[in-house]
Amino acid sequence: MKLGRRNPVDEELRFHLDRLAEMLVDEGMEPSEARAEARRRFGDMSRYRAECAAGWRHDGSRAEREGIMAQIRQDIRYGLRALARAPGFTAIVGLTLALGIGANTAIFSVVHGVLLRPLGLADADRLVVVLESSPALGIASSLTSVPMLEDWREGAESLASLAAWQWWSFTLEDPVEAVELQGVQVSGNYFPTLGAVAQLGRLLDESDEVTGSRGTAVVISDAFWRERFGASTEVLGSVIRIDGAAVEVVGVMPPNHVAPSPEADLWMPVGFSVVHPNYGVRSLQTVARLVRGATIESATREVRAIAERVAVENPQSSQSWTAHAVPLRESVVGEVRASILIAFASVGLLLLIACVNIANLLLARAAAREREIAIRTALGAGRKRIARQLLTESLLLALLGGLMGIAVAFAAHGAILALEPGVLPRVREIRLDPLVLAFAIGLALLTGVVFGLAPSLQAAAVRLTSVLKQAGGRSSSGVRHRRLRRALVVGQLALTLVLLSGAGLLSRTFLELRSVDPGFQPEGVAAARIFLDARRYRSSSEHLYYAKLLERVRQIPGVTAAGASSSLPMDPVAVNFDLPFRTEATAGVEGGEIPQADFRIVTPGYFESLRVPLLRGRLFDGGDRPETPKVILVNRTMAEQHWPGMNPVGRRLETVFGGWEWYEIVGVVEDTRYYGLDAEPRPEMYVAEPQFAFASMTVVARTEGSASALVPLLRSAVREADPLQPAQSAFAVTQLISASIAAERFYATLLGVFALVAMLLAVAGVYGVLSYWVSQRTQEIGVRLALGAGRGQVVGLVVGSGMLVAAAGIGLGLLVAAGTMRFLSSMLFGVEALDPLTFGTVSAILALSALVACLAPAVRASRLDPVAALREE
Amino acid sequence: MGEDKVSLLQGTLDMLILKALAGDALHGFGVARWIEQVTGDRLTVDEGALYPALHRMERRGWLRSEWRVTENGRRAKYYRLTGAGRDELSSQVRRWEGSSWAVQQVLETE
Repeated sequence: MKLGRRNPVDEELRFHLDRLAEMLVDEGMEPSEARAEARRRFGDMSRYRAECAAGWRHDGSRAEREGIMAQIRQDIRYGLRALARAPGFTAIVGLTLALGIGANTAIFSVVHGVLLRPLGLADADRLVVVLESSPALGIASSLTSVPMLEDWREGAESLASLAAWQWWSFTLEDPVEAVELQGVQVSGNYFPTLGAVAQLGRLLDESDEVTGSRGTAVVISDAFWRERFGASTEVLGSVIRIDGAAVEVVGVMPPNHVAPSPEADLWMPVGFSVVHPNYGVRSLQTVARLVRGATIESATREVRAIAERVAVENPQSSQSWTAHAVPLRESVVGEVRASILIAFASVGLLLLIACVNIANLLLARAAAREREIAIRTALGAGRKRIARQLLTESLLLALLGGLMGIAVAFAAHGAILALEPGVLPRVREIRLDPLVLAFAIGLALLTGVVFGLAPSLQAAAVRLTSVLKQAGGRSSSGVRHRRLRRALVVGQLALTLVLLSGAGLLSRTFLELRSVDPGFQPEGVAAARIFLDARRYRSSSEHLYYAKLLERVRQIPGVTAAGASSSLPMDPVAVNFDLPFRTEATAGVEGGEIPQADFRIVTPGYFESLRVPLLRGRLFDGGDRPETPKVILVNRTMAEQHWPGMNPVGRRLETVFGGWEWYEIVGVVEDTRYYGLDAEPRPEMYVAEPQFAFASMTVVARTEGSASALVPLLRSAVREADPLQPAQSAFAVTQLISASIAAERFYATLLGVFALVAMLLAVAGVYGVLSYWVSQRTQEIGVRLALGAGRGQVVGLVVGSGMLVAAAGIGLGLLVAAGTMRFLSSMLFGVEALDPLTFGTVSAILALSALVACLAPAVRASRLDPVAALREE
Repeated sequence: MGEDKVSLLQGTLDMLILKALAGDALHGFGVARWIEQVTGDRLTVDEGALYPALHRMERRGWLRSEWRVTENGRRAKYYRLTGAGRDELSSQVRRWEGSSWAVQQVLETE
């Protein structure tokens, strides 16, 4: 056979065959026999020749890719099996993660709904709110007046359109009973300015506006439409009677209309105008659309210039007043942004703390699995492969936690909405929509990488040979594991301390607020807001109505005092007047600042009902008649500011409610916290209701029994006094106070819950690390015990080791807290951001919890049987 | 074929070839003789099976080859280890040690 030398493969194989035959001949075989034997030993020549050539052809990246897919599938299968084999571990990690992710998702739904979601209005970026303010009077933002509105409309070129609106109480006349509705009076250009679109029918526009009075069209809210009209499209064109006038329903607002008046039942057009322009009657809210190219700054510059010109020209009403513009979104959510972001940051810390626990559990598991991993490495799995394997397992765990977390998120979301006391704007926008749920899954995968990376890198770095050499398969990387785990727990404790400090500061704020004396006793007092229908009552008959009503209220069994006021302390819908006044000392003086004070109209019996202490002089009584000399009461702050060291009773002051008039001061009453427990009292003047008629009063009555039982009785007394005049609302006065600190309570509770969960996780972390430490040192402890160490010494050793970690964590946490608590400043009252008492207390609580976590492992260590412990290796 | 002969574990042939070439350059026939010698004739393998393996490893860059003239004047293809081949050999040896340890562990488990 001659294969020739053309083909190198043939030549190579032929050489081998020849040499093999030669060798066999040398061993004594017949040449022909040797040749046959050589062929037999060589095997299938043509096959090997083909294989030599074929090998070059498919290096195949495709095959490689398929290999990777198969490996990933295998990783997942393997991971699922591994998790199923450790159900306890899987459950603990899953639950921890579910808690963290669920809480984060719920808070993210708030962030998304309130802060991120678009307002749902066209070009909402160009919508602004224009506000008056008086830094000198401590008023950061105020409503505006009709003439000021008109000046801005004329002069501010940055504003394409400027609309006005105000809350209004409407009486819907129903065949059965009159109902009081919350609504909004709007200027005709209100909806065009917003760029809002009706859900059904049309919205109001300039053509609906009637100068100086209400129009005859009404737009109703989605909720009102569903409740009253069963969501029927027939509603369009139907006529309802509002405040005695027939009006036509022309449109229905979409359900998610939030800005700037989310809670309204209806919108009525009104032509805001006044015959005698008074810049001091500030009762309008505004919303404006910027012209293209204009900015908040240019708008502010213009409205400020106009307001300051008005202030110079009208010192009586506008001295010290200025104006500015803020984005509409800012005016809707600006107040709560900081609080929500703080809650979000806190819940993020909580998740981080949970991740540390899970990483620790995974590390412990990795240590226990070192042998398994070593075998897999030995069987040819590369380090990358092992790391990927463990990461796959972590991601599977994370996904499980994420799915369970979504369930937790639904519960937490419900709890937040239930607990939320009306402090969040856009609350109806807070939903667990697909985006929020995607956030949950994304967060889960991210956490999976975060807590899975450390253990998988650790495992990948396991030195195979060192594990293999260990007879008993005990962990060689125990020391490294232990250091990493301790570092993680220190970080975890530090984060927990930060959360605890925040929660502590907010709790103290809440307690401080609750301990503020409001200046009256709200317990046992019920109130009803009444807004007299202007067409049926004139100022002469208003007094008669209230006199009649109070007479009825005083006859309710158990009622010990009753009265009425133009506004109650801390009432969010109160009407407040802020009027200039002159004393006998300043009356004749030209120029200079004209002081201002809050002005309220009260009936006899009001101070008695709320038990506002009388400091000097007398309160109002039946003798203060329209025809008797005008009398006035001042509060303590006003007396101290303007008659320092003197008795103001018997002196006179002049103020302007309509026109300037002199009043005799007949008494001084205690300060009341009208603007909230956290606001310093302002100077206040009170005039007597019979000398001043006023349509909108809140009736208060003190009972010997419970205020909540009095509420329905008060309501029916109002109905009996005039069936066509329902009470706008009736409530126990304690509600005003709890509502005024509801936000503080809400955030303190929220952060408190987060901090508590964080502390539980951190304690579990300390416990885990210490238990591990003890199990690693069984032998050493056995030696110590065998050498005569007392049980107490062993306990001391273990506790000492644990408390060292705790001390490091608390120390680090105090540093971090000192640096971060200032972000809470805007939410605090009566306590400094760096409050040593709070920091000390939470440190002590955390240290004590850590101590408790140390005890069990310590006791376990001290009870070791030295002989068994020594034999353990 | 005797009872005491064992066939090679899959993948082991590569390691043996690499090991054979760890010393001097050899041609395929020489590799077959080396394996025969060190295993005391106990491994059965088609000698032809060496060639696909040699070619594959050459393509992977573990081996380098050159044609030389033998002592008795014939042309033959000689193979030698490259640096990559040396690394591969040591990693295959490690893996082998690991897996034999692992098998040992499995067998020792009660």
